[in-house]
Amino acid sequence: MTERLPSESRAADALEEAVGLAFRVLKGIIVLLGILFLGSGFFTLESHEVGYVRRLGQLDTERLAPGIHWRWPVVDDAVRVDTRPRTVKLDGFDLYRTKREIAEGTDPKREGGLDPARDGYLLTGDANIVHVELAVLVARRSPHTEADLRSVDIDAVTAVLLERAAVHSAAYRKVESLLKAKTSFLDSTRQELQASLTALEAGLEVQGLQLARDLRPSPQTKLAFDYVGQASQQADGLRASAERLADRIRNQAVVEAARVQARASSRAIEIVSDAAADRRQFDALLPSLAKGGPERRRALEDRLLADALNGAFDKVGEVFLVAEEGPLRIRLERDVTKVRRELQDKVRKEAGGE
Amino acid sequence: MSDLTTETRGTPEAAESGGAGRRLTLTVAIAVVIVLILRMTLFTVQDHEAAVVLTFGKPTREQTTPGASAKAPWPIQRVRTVDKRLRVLKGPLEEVATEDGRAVVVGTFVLWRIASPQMFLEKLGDVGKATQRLETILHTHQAAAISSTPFEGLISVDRSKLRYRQVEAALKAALQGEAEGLGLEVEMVGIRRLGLPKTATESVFERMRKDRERLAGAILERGRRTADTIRHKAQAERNDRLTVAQVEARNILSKAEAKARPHIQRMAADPSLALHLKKVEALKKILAEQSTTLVFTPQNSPFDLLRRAWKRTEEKRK
Repeated sequence: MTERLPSESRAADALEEAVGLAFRVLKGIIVLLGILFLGSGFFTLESHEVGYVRRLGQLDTERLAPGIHWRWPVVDDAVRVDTRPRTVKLDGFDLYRTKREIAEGTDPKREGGLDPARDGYLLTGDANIVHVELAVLVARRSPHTEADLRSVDIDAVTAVLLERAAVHSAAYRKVESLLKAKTSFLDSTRQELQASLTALEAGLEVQGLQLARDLRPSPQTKLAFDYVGQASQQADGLRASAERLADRIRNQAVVEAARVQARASSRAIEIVSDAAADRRQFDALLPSLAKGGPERRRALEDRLLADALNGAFDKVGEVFLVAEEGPLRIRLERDVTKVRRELQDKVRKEAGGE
Repeated sequence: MSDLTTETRGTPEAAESGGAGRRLTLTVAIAVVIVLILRMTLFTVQDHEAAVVLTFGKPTREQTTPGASAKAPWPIQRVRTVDKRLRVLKGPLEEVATEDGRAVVVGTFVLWRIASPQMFLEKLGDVGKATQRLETILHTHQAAAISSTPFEGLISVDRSKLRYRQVEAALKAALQGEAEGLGLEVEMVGIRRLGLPKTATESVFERMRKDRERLAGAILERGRRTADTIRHKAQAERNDRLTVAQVEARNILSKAEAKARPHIQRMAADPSLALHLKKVEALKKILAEQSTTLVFTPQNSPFDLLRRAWKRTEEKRK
């Protein structure tokens, strides 16, 4: 063995040290990469999410709750499912609106016919036209991945099935009943949509169906429909007015009938009491008449008359007793002064004649 | 140099670190090779997918169940995956004539999926071409299905006359027959839009306006008639009630007269006295109620009572 020179020995030591350091660093890097690799397997699920692990392409049936979870990186996939219900809007049965009209919430003006390529509508059973915008709320059924496993775009599937259901529901309804009974239309559309989704095993449940824009006639016929509404209101007004009058008539009749009966009752009491009073007076007078003759009768009659007249002339305004024979003329005159003058002249003439 | 190398290798520490390094390098190299081999020979199929293994470009095998599978490395074999989930095809709106010659505008849709991936790739190749083919098939059969349906099979207030199910079933059967040969499956065909040509909608609006006018007139007329009926009924009720009240009143008066009759019959013992008493009573009532002017002659009863007094006055004057 040859001896090393001091300088050669130092170089060898340095090289050895460098190689050792390099391998230690490499080891460290590998360990770090390993930690990072395993760390990438962590994933979190939000409160509105559930999760599944897909291993080598196959979904594990175990459902993971919201929180932090771990799976093997590369080998396993984390599948997140948003469990919140989603809203699908359908404006295919509505008039085309510009952005301004949408912002203002107004209906566009239309005259003449409708181009079905631009403006949507529903045909009713009596071949009339109405417009509507619908919004359906759907939720994923459990297991929550069923919907995403079944169709590429669940919103698109929901939308076309909703269109179909709406066309079917409107096709046998009259326009009047459709506009009046909107809830019935929504119910039958919703039922048909759910039946279609269930038959397709789409994994979706319809939670609600609403009118995003109300069912209404076209602008071309709006005035005519308003006119019908006004006529209904007018007819209701006529009926209400007639009812009020009828109530008044019935109430007045009750009052009148009561008055008639009250008058009759009062008159009945009068009749009986008068007859009784007359009889009492008669019974009181008869014995004295039975004893006397005609003179006594006449005297009694005069006394009765005098009693009747006693005090009566205080109440009477004027009394004129005229002759039995000869003409009787009654003159009504507003100007009393004129009549007085004429009478005075007549009296003067008669006095002068005498 | 070789001595130096020998020298360097000669120490125990150098020997230990060199061996560990080699092992580490070997391990990493083996791991990388394994991963590469796996990458080149394994493929996974997800649960919504199907895979077709192409050997030198030709489809040779299908894999429709999810999981991992083996294949030869590229360029011997490669894998094409297809999404086998349901897709939506919305056909364009088309004007078609019904069986009874009415023009309608119809829009349909097809829910389809890839059923046989190998056949799909051989016959079509991609989803775009599949969509185009299905549209063409749909167009062909849609017109035939609608033209064999009467107008009231599409809209009618008599629900039993609607034939949507039959039209859609016929369309589905026609499409499915052709789609099968392309590796596709049609799950549903439906009518998503039904309308009328533009000119037809003009006459619809005109009719709607006239109908509404008639309806408004009928509603008003009905309202007026109902109002009249209500009033007449109330009037009739009033008359009935008053009639009943008057009958009641007559009964009351009859009973009163019956009660008074014994008194009157008693007074028949002296009719002259009874009559005189009645006259005096009448005179009292007239004089008590009236405060206006009275004009009478002694001929008038009861003022004939005053005749004797009048004659006595006349005689005295004479």
